[in-house]
Amino acid sequence: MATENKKRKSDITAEEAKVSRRNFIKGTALAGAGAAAMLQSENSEAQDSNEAKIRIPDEIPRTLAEAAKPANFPMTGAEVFAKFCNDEGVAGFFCCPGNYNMINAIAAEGIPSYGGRCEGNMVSAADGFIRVTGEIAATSGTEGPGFTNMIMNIGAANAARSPLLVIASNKTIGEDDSEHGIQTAYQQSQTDGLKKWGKRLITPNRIYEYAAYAFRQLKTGVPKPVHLDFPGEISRARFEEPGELQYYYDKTRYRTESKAHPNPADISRAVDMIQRSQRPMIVASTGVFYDKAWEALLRVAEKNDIAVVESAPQRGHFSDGHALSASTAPDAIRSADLVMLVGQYCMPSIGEFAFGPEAKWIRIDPDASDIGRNVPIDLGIVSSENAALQALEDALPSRSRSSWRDELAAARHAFDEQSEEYYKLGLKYSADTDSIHPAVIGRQLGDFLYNNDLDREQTTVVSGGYGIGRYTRRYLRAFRPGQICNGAYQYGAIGPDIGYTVGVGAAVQNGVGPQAPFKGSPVVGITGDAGVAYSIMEFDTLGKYRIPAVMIVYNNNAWGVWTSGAGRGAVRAQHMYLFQENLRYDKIAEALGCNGEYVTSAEQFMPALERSYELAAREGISTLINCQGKKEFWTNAYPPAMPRHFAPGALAYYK
Amino acid sequence: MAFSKAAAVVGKSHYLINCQQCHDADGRALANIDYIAADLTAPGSWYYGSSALHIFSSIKFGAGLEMPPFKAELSDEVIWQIVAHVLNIGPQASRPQQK
Repeated sequence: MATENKKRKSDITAEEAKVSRRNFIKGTALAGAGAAAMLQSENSEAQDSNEAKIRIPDEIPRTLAEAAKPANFPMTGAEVFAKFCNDEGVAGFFCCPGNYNMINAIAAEGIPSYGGRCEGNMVSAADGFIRVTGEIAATSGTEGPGFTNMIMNIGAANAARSPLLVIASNKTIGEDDSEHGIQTAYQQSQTDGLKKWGKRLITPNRIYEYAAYAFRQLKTGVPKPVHLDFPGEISRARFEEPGELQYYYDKTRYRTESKAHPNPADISRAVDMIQRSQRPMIVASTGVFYDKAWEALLRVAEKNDIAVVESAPQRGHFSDGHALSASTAPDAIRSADLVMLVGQYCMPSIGEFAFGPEAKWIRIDPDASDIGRNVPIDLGIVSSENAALQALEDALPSRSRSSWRDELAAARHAFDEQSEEYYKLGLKYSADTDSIHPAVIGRQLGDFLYNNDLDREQTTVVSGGYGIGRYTRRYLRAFRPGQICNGAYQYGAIGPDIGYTVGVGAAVQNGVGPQAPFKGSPVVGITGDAGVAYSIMEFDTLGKYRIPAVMIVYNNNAWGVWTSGAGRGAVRAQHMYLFQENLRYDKIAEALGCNGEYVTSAEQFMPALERSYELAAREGISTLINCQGKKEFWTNAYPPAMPRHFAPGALAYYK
Repeated sequence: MAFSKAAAVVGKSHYLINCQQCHDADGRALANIDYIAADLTAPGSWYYGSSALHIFSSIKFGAGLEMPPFKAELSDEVIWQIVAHVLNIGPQASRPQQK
C-alpha cells in the first residue's frame, strides 16, 4: 500500500488497481450476511509495514457472535425497557457509548446493535435504517454532550417523519440542579419541535407504562421521533416480579393495531372527481411506505390508469419502471388536472410542488388536523393510506386512459433526453477542465446500477449531497420499495449521508423488511465534500462491521453555496465559502481501514466504481470514491449549472 | 403585457412554481436557502437593471453567476406574465397603473 500511495490511482491500469486492492485487503476475506457472520479478526495492510496494522480486535467478532441473553425477572429498569423494545420488534439499534445500562441491555436482547463514532451519525444511521425498512430503529447517546450531538440528526428524522426511538441517559434525579460532576442538562426541551412525543422518566415503576406510551406514538398515526430520557434511578431500578411494574400489560392491550378507514361518502366523491379527471395523478408519499400500501397503490393505479409520482424520504413504493410512473416525468406533473396526495406527511407549500395552478386536490391522510394545511383542498379523506387505497380500488371502475399514458411516456422520454444532453455537456466540461462533472457521475452510476449485469432492484442507494444530488437524482431509479433513501429530505441537512449509509447498509446486511431479497448486497451512497466532513469517521464503523458500501464523494473544493460569497457585491467574503483544493478524502477512508479511489476524469469513474462494488460484494470492504470536480460547474458558465429541484419526482429535494 | 394586472395574476402562479425557491413567495428572498437572491421588492438593490425589459432579460437569459436562464422552460408569454407579477410586488410608487 505504501508503494501504491506514491502513485496516483489515475496513473495505474485497472488490472493493477485490482491487484492492489487485493493486496490492500489481503487476509480480510469476509462475506456473508449478518454482522456477526461477516466479521473476522484479521490484519489489514492499509498502512506501511513498519507501522501498527489496522485491524479488527478479537473482541468485536467474538462478542457479536455471542448468543442473545433476553432478560427475565428479576430485571433492572434498563432490562425491562430493552425487553419491551425487543417484544415490539425494534429492528436495529445504533449508538455511541454512554447510557451503559441501556445499551448493554438492548444488545443482550439480541436486537442488531451497532456502535459508531459520533452520536449524531448514529441517529442518522437509525433514521436511514428506518427509511428503507419501514421498521422502528432506536438510537442512544450519553447525557449532555452526547445528546446535544444528536440534535441536528433528530431534526432531520423529524422532518422525514421517521418512527425513531431516541434513548438518552440523563444523570440522576437526585442530582437535579446541582451540576454535580459533569454532563448535566435538561434534555427534553432541547428536542421541542423535533419530536412527536417525549418524556424524562422519573418514577422507576412506571418504566413499562412509559415504554407503552412511546410505542403507541411510534406505531400509530403519523410517526415522528420519540425521545425518552433515563436518569440513573430509572435504568438501575430493580424489579423482582411483574407486580412491581405499573400497567404491565401485553402489547395487545396497551395499544391497538386498528386504523382509520375512510368515510364511504368521501370515497364516492373521490371516485367522481377521478372519473371527471383526464389526467389524474397520485402522489405516493411517506405514509404509503409506512402503511405498506404499495400493492394497493399499484392496483388502484392500474385499474383506472392513474399516474403515480413519489415524494418521500424513501423511494420505490411505485416502480420507476412502470408505464404509469411520473417520478421522472416533470412535464406530466405540470399537466395533471387532479392531484391525490396519499400519506404526504411533510406537506409542501404551493410552489414547492410542480403541479399546475388549475389542478384539483384530494388529500388522504390519517391526521385530520393536517389536511388543508399549505395547499387548499377540494376533498379531504381521513384514513390510513392502505385502507383508503383499498376502498378506492373497490369503488373505481376500470378505465383506460391511453392519451394520458402516452403523455406520461413522452414526458419521461423528454426528461431522459434532457438528462442525456446534460451528460454530453458533462463529458465536454470534464474534458475541458481535467476534472469530472456531476452529470457524468450520475449517468454512469445509473448505467452501472440499472443497465449492467446487476439486478436493477438489487442496490439500495443513499441519494444525498447538495449540488451533486441535483444531478444524481436525475439518473437514479427505484424499482422496489425502500430502494432509495432520499437523504436531504426537507430538513436539508448535508452532513448525515454517511450516517444514513451505515444504517441503510445495516438494513441490507440483516435483510430487514423490503431489503430481505438483497441481504448482504453492497449499498451505494452519494454525498458532497461539505457533507462528507461531518460523518467521514463512520468509515471506521463501516469497516468495523464490514458493512459493504460504496460512497461517492463529489469534491468541488467548496460549500455548494459558494457563489453567495462571490456575487452581489460581496467583499472579503469568498474565503468563508471555500476549502483547500484537491483534498484527499479517499486517503482518510484508507486510514480508517477501508478503501479509497481518486477520480479526476470522466474515464476513471466507471472502472473505480466497478472495482469498489466488486470489493464490497466479495469482501465486505467499503470504498470512498473521491471525485474531483470544479466549483465553477455551479455557475452559468457551465449550464445547466445547478439544476432546479421540484417536488415530487426525481428532482425532489425539499420534499 | 408587463403592465397588465390580469397578466400579473397569472404570472404569480408561474412565479410561485419557478421563482420562489430562491426569491421566496413574497419576493423578498429572506430565506436565502440556496443563494443570496435579489430582493424583488427592492429594485434599487438590483444589479442587472429594473426596467420591464431588464427583468425579462434576466429571467430569459439568466444573470450573474447564479440566476439561471429560463428560456428552455418558459415561453416569452409566461416570462412577461412573471415580469408583470414582479413589477406588482415592488414599491407602491413604481407599480404599473393600468388595470
